[in-house]
Amino acid sequence: MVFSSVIFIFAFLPFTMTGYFIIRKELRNAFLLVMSLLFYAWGEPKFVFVMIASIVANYIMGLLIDKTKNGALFERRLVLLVAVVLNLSILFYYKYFDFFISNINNIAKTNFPLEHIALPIGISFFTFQGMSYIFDLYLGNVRVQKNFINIALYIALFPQLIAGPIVRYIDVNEQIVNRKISLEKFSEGIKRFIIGLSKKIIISNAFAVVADSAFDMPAGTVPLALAWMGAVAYTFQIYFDFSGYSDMAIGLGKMLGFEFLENFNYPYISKSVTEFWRRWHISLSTWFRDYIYIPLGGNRKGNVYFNLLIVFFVTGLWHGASWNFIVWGLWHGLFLIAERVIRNKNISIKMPSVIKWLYTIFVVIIGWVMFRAVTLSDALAYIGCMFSFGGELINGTGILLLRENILLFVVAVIGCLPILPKIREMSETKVIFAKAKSFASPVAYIVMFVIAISFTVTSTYNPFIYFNF
Amino acid sequence: MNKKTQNSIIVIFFVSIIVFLFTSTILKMPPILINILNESSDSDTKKITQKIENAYREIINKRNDLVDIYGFSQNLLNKKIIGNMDFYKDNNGVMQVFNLDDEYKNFYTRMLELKNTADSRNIPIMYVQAPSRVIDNYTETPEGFVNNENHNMDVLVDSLEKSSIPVIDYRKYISESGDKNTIAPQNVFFKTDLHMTTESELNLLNIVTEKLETEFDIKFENKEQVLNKDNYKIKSYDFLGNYSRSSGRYFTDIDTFNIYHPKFDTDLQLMDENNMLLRQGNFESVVMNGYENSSNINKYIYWVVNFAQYQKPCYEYVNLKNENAPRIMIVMDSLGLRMASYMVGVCSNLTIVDPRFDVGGDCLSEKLMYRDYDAIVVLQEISLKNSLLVKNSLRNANAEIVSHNAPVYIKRDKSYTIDITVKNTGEDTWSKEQDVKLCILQDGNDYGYRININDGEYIEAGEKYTFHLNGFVAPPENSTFIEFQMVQDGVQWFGEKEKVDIKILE
Repeated sequence: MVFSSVIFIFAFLPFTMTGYFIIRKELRNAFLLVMSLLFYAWGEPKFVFVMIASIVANYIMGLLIDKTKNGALFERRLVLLVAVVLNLSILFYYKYFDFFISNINNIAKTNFPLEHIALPIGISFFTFQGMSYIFDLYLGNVRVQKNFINIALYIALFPQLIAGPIVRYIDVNEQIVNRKISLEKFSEGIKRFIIGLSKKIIISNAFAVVADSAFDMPAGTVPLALAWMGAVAYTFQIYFDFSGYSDMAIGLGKMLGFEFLENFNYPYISKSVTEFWRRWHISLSTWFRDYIYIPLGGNRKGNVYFNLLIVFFVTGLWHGASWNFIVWGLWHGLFLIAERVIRNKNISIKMPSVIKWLYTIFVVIIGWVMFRAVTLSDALAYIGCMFSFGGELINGTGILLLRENILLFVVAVIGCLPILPKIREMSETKVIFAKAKSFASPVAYIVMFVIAISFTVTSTYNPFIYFNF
Repeated sequence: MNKKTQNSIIVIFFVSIIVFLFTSTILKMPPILINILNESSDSDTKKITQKIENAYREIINKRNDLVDIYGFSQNLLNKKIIGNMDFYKDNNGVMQVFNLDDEYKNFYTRMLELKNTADSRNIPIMYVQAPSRVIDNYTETPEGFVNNENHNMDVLVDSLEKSSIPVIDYRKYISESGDKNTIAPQNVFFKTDLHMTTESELNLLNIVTEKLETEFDIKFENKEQVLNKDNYKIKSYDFLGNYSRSSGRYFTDIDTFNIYHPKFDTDLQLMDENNMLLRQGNFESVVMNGYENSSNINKYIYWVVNFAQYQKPCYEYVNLKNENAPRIMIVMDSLGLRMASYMVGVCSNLTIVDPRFDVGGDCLSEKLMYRDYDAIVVLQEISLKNSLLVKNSLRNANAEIVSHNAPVYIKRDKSYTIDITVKNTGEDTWSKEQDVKLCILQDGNDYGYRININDGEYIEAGEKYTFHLNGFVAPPENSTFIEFQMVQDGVQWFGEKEKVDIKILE
């Protein structure tokens, strides 16, 4: 089920919220679990069993890790290994099996048949959540969760189930057992949900039309300006799509009493690729940092550059079983390593901030082209169009789309800047701003919600980009 | 306003809206759910949930108001495009469709096939080219708006004319001049709907009847009465057509849908595809579908289908007041529903065929074979380009009855086998797949007795084939006659007809 769908907003949400608040507190987790399973099953009923299998496996492995916590290191590591293998096996089978076979076939010139396995929605997210529980438990950061409903709810909780944020167990284990609900928190949750819904349905979907027009053209035929417009449009689309989803997830979490960590922090204002990854998909970066980069040795043990390369290879692979995702990950990794080399060697490069920003956004935009294109060769052909000076600059479609969306581009640029926090800051320090905001704020949210739902009822099925991962 | 009040306002508003829309919509769902579950033969639960989701989106309470808000916001932003490059609002506020650049080669081929069949039945055929919504010297389209309809229509019209098919190109009648049979560009189409206005279709009816009379020497009856607008009482309704259902009333102007009610007496019948009587009475009770009697008249009523039998493969109107008037067949989709509806008044019989629902061209082919028409009119709209289908008729089909051993005298208590040898004197090969059969008529009646060509046998042009009629017995009468003629079933009769008189011996 999609957050921005009519059935979610006007059927699932009111039903779930009503049930949640009228039943006894001790039954709320069970109720939320049932609704979360329904939420998942709605989109792909048969795969709910895959998720349940993942939950059961992690629950049992959690108990085993706890049982062996005072045992021999080998025994503990063996249990951990089994748990990791179990989780990765599910992920590998559903997500990477065909990719693996097709690469084997290409390299060894064999002809093993592909299984054409359908990808359970959100499998990368719920698998990583399950593994987070296992790792936190193994590292002794949290206590074992003996209540099956609670561990199932942690993995399956519908707000963050299929597109994150990837909530680490250590961050929510206490909230699962005990959380506070207040009018203020509920209201904050609604506001956050409205912001996310508007980002997705008003801004991201409009950019999708522009990006699709450019990327759907035959490879190598996109005029230069349209190629750039398409790439920039996709850069906005993916940000407003994914951060919009995260906003809605965080908002829904708040309405239910949960506090999820932020997933985005204005990534497009970054002045280095390193900074970008501190601001983009924070929950995934944190997961990789805590559970891969640091265990590999981080920047203390081993070769830090190699460790970074591994992390970004895995980051790319996590996004999809395709070489363009891997190359996208490595592309970012290489720039990040270069920046680390410059920092570690104390090489001082003084550049105006705008140049640093231009460098970063250039790397990011080119990266998104690899991410959006269907294949790596399509990506290279598209990038070729972005630099094919001397050819056609723009075609009629490009001019039409530019005229139609010029205001949207302006709104998107503003939306990528930290203007709202500034306004909030000002309203807290100046009385006149505070008064204006106290009246304008509720009106703005109400208007935004009405407009967003008016877009929702007119738009057809439009899933989030990150549902594919 | 303190923080708590602000929070309360937001919570109350949000919760009220979602709970109100939930409770007021969910009550409408049970019959829809039952319907979806009954219709879903497959066990694919994903499809079922998708259908439920789509249905819920369509029936959500206040949907139309929300669509209006969406259109209003798009207008505020000076947007022209709706959806994923679906519609474009042009300089005249007319909703246009993107990417209409399909060519009509397929349609042209099928028109020739239809003409071939019509020729074999000596029925003249005329083609009416409906206009594109992109009207020369009126519609301004921006760069990047792909619509090659006019060019493709030009090619089609030119090809048809070269193939000796008379054409009415309605685009040539669009003019501000006010001359006879012309129509001003702003009155041709609804702004919000793909169909033509009622005035535009009535104007086209004038042109079509005139052309049929001059081209094919057909004399319509009651023209002065039927084609004079003064003889109608006009009722007008607000109308938001199918091109604006996703952008609402504030994105474009609302259209006015005019319905012309005859002031004169009418006496009509409606027959279904099997020639069974469905309705009888006046124009309103036979041709129209009673939408005006709805208790909830609003701008969303789809008035276009208040006329004729939408989504039926074929049907026929009989005008009991015009028994000697011409019989016409119109091949069209919904674009000409009102033109055809009012044309009933000048015909004795009017058969309407919608190829989109005439699977395999069965109905069209059968009507052409068994009914005598004075003319066939094909009104082209984009949806017909892939659906117009007449069963492939054999080229210059012809046959010669070479020999037969039909007895001249037969005994009443005996059964006979008759061999009939027929030579293919046409151009195409005969086979069972092409429904080529020998028909045996008895006493001038077609009782449906056919003899098939054996499986796997193909009779090339110039070759002979012997059909065997087994078990022929005497009828109760003292004499009878049988006739042999070749038939391509459901398409055409062809070749020599041989008659044999038979006397019965007691």
